[in-house]
Amino acid sequence: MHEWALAESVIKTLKNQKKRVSKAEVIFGKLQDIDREIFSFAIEELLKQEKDFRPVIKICEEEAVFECISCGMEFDLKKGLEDAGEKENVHFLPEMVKVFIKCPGCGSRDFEIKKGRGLSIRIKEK
Amino acid sequence: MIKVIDPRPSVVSQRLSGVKKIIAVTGFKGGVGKSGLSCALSLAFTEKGFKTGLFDLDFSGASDHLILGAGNLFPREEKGLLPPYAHGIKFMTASYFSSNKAIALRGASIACAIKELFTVTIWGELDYLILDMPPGVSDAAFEVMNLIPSAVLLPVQTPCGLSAEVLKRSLEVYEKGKFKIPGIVQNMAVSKEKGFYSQIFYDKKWPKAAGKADKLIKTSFYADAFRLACKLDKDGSL
Repeated sequence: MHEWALAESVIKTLKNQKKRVSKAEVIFGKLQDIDREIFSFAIEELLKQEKDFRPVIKICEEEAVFECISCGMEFDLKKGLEDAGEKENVHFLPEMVKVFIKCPGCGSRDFEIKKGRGLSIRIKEK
Repeated sequence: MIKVIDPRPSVVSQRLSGVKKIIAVTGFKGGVGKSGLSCALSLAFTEKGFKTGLFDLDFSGASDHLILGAGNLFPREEKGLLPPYAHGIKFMTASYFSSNKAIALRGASIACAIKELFTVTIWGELDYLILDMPPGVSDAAFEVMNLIPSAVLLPVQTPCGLSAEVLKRSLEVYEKGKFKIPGIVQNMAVSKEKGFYSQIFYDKKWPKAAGKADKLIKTSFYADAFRLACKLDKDGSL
């Protein structure tokens, strides 16, 4: 249920924009593995508390991609994080992935999360 | 034009709205004892009857859970993460999520993880929140200062000349910000000296008591930290 806290940050950010937002895309990085159902429920509940703010929010997912700083290899999450406890830890704190997996090329834990870390918002501006 | 926004910072002030005072215990050099002092101050404020939180932000050297003997705790999920209690202190640390493995992260990753935890941690009502800061003026330290400009900075140094010199240079960075700095705490003091906000005298019993809160509170280190907590509480300038 910490998805609720993340949903609050989305609504607050959209409300804080200088120009009124009517449409937004929320990107879920697959690394964080946010529960779409709980998040959507939280968004609905939070919007019920708003009087005249009802943006259309579309949820999209983004695959996690890593790049090794040591050898330059690009890799994904297909191999790794099979342990349920590790998955849960990365769900709460995505950076912990660097504690649990290594670069499949050189074994380094010094890699960058290039895409698909966690939550972000995309808004089209005119 | 597509604008990409990180929504997390928008709720940080809301998460901390129930916290009356935030004290960031900072050591500009490693090994000056900021973790020990952060834990002792948290225990002292709790003993004085204040609702107290402790947030270990020193990811690489996370040790508050070892000092407090709070290794088996885990936050509860309820519209965010509720920090568990350790000896009456609401306690949050990245070590909950590392499965007892080393947290070897670059500065930017630590800063991002700190932002995540400030976004999802529900502190509720607190009189004091103690932040055990990462050493030095780093990405992580800048992140904390950006997210929480209202924090009171409590710098710690030892009698070692190097520690004092590094502290002096680092303080210049912070003094350009808006942070309140009541004065410097000298830890591991061996003789009375003027010019410090407080002195915590060297106590060989303190490291031996680590992990056992009932023994920690019987040390002279803790007695000094308790006096510091009283002084901070009475300090009207903070």
